[in-house]
Formats: sequence, C-alpha cells, structure tokens
Amino acid sequence: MNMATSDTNHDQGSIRLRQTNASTPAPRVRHVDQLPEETLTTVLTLLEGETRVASNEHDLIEGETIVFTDYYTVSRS
Amino acid sequence: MTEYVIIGDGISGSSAAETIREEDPDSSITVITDEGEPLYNRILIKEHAKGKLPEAPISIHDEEWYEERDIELSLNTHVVTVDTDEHVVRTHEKDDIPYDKLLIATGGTPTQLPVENSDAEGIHHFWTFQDARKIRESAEAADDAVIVGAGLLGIDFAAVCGSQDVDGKFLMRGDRWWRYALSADGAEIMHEGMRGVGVEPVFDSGVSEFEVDAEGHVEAAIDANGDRYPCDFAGVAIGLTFNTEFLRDTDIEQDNGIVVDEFMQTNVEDVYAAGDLTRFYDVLVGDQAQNGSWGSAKEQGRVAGINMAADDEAEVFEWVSSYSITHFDFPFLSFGHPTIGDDYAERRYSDTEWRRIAFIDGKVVGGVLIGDLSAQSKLKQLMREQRVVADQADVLLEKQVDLDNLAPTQEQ
Ligand SMILES: Cc1cc2nc3c(=O)[nH]c(=O)nc-3n(C[C@H](O)[C@H](O)[C@H](O)COP(=O)(O)OP(=O)(O)OC[C@H]3O[C@@H](n4cnc5c(N)ncnc54)[C@H](O)[C@@H]3O)c2cc1C
Repeated sequence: MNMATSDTNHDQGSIRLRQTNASTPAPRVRHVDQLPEETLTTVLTLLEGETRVASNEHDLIEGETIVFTDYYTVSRS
Repeated sequence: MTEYVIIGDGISGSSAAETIREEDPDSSITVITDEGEPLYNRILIKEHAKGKLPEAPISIHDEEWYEERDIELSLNTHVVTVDTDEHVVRTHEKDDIPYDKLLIATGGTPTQLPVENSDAEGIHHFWTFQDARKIRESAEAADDAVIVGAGLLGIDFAAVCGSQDVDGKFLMRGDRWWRYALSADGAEIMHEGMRGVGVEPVFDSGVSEFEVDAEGHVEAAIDANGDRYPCDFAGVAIGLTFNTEFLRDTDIEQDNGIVVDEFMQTNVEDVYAAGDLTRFYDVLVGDQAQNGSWGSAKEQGRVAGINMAADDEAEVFEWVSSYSITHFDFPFLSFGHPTIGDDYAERRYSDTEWRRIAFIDGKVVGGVLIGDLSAQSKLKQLMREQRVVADQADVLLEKQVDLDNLAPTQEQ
C-alpha cells in the first residue's frame, strides 16, 4: 500500500495513480466508496503494486482525485 | 403526465430523480430538501472537517443541474406531513404538493446523547455540510477532545482530531471499537491507528454527563466510572434516528426504518423509500436488512426510480455494499452485513493485516478486511453468488484468495 505511483496498460493508454495533496485542483474528487465495483478493484490493484491490470473496466478520468489512505491523482500517459 | 415527488436530496433522492428523468422524460419531478444546498458529497465532508479538502470539490450538483433536467428543486423546505389517501405532501410553509408517485429518501439525523448538557457549545454531531464547517472551525481552536460512539462515524471524529492536532480520548462502552463486527485482534489494529493520530481509546467507559463553563461551552466529560476528561471539543456519534416524523399519520410500515421490498416499495400504494432509512428485503441474505452507505443509497435510489417510472416491479435491488475507513496509513473495508453472521472465520496476518468473514447458512454475507484489501472483490463475488463455502473458510483466509481452490459447487 505504500506505492506512491503505479502504472497499468490500458486500451486508451496506461494509467498512473500519483500521490498528491488535496489542494491540487481536480475535475472530480471521489472517495473510494463512491467508485463502481470494477473501478475500485482497478484502483486497489494499482495501489497494491501491480503494473498491469487485466480489466480495462473503470471510469477514472484524467486529473481526478481519489481519496484513499492518501489522495491520489489519476493520469493517463 | 405523471407527477413524481421525492423528499430528500441526498444521494438516494438525487439518484432517483436522475433515473426518473431518463426513464420518463415528459413527467413532472419535484425534489424537496430541508437543507440549503443541493446534493453534495456527504462522504467527503469529513475531509473538509479534517482541514484537508476545500468546499468546492464537495459540491456534486449546482441548481443548474436541476434546471437543465427540468427538475423542480425546493431548498430549505421541510416536509411536515404526508397524506397517502389524498396523495399530497405538505411543507412547513403549508404548501400542498400533489404526487402520483412518492419517494421517501430522508435519511437520518444523529442521535443526541441522553445526558446532561449534551447540547452544549462545542459538542458536535456529524451529518451535514454545515456540521462539517462548524466541526472544522471548532476543532481548529480546540486542544482536547472527547469522542463518544465506537462505530464507523465515531472514527471520523478521531480522524478530525488527528488532522487538527487535537488530543483526543475516545470513550467506548465495551472493550473495543465496533465490537459487533471485530474481534479483539482486528480491533487492536484500529486502536493502534487511533493512537497513531493522537487519540487514545478508553474502554468500558461512555459519557454520563458533560460539564460546561459559565458561557455554556463544554469543558469536560464525566464517564460512567466517574472519571473526568477535560475537553473543549466533543464529537458524539452514537447512531442515527431516521427522519420519518412526517409519516406519523400514514399507515406506512416502519420497523426502525421504513420497510420496503426488493423493489423499494412500501406497503402503501405509490409510496417508495430508498437510502439509509430503509429496512429493505435483501435478496442476497433472504431477509430484511439495513445498510448505511453511499453506494447502497445511490443504488436504492436508482432502483426505486426505475420501478416508479415503470409503474411495475421492473428491477430488483441486489447489492453488496462497501464502507471504507481511509484515515490511517493502512486501509479498512467492510462489506455486506459483517455483524449478522451465524458463523465467522478470521485470521490475523501481521500487525496491520486482519480479515474476518461472516456467514449465514454457510454463505458469505459480509466481512471486514484491514490492511490488505486484495480479497475484497472475490469475497463480494461469493456473496453475490450465494455459494455455500463456510466449510472451506481456510481457502478464503489464505492471504491471496484463489477461488479455483474451492471445491466445485454441489447441487443444493
Ligand atoms: C461524516 C460522514 C461520513 C460518512 N462516510 C461514509 C463512507 O466513508 N462511506 C460510505 O459509504 N458512506 C459514508 N457515509 C454514509 C453516507 O454518506 C450515507 O449512507 C448516504 O449519504 C445516505 O444517503 P441518503 O440519501 O439515504 O440520506 P441523506 O444523505 O441523509 O439525505 C437525506 C436528506 O433528506 C433531508 N430531509 C430529512 N427530512 C426531511 C424532511 N422532513 N423534509 C425535507 N427534507 C428532509 C435531509 O436534510 C437530507 O438532506 C458517511 C456519512 C457521514 C455523515
């Protein structure tokens, strides 16, 4: 759970979750309990250190903040 | 044209309004709330109270959102009665609003401690954005806190104290936090989390009285043992009282919550209920059940909206809920109904990792994971599948759960 960043291959490019702080402006801020089931699983898998996530079913958007044990920003690269 | 009235603009009411507009584009929809702001992110108000998140991202809908969807939004409007024979909702301003279909989505209000001075200045309850603003301001100025209520919301007060540098004493009635869902092993991890943010759990305690200063501000809590805990901030989270006062003249069935079936219908025609205040028929456990979580409230609102618009039993509410605690450097997630099992299996993996699974008739009905959440989706899947697996609990307690290691399902 201490991973500060992680990547995944995704059909629209790879996704990174980067530790951030709350004052970073974001198009959307969601707590993990607000994520649909597949997105929650994807986020947890990324934070557990996986670099590849089999499922591409998630609704994360560029720049959004996810509130978990830290604040994380979603980026696609 | 069907007239829909929704009382409550929390996530369940709002999600119903959105669904009805999609399903019945030509209808009239009115959403009534006694709060002064449209839907906001009730989960994230704790981050605001902690001083971490500004106000703006916590808002979900502005008033335009309702205008764009031709939904009539009445803010600051308290519903005082409902006449289910006449199909009319009456507001505090004595406006009568007729309905064809009514949704009750009014959630709950935190229960006040029935002890002396429990409404003193500096004593807080936590439900609305307004509460969060006051808690933030009060905690910023405080040095010592007392927290009461050893459940999921009490811990949010502990987190506020941690973030705002307030020394806290968390007074609990029993020997551990959330004793209905956690054994001593699991609870001890949470206690360490609290200590880590400067909040000390005090067991076999509980407040029997608050002391106030000359200005009426809280200055101490006296516990059941007569011990005195000085404080200039107190957080009380001992439970919710459901907002159903306005239904007293109706025959709507209540049993510590509004009783609904799996379609979110009450026993009274054209009246539905959704969200925290329902006692719903949970098809996954085959019994009435309750749940207070964002995802469940949102889904109940959506399913109610579908069935109201269809004027039929079109969709069943079938949902495995999740509730997380994200305040410590290890995560916590509870799912389903972790407190109602007739059998439990648990394991501790390390100082910060623990898992417990609740079963009824051998089927998974809920659980709690601390530290390592990797098994959550598989355990939820088993709950959805209603598979009898309690006799193979060892497989479910492996650190990495592999469902292929379960024996194939036998014909029941
Ligand atoms: C501090 C806090 C932290 C939380 N953390 C989490 C979490 O981490 N994860 C999670 O899943 N859930 C969490 N929850 C719970 C979650 O927010 C609720 O389960 C969910 O918001 C319930 O939605 P609802 O629509 O049923 O009710 P509510 O959001 O309570 O909405 C009901 C609305 O009805 C209005 N109302 C009541 N009576 C009347 C009346 N007579 N007339 C008009 N309007 C009325 C109320 O003012 C309110 O706006 C948290 C809740 C709080 C307060």
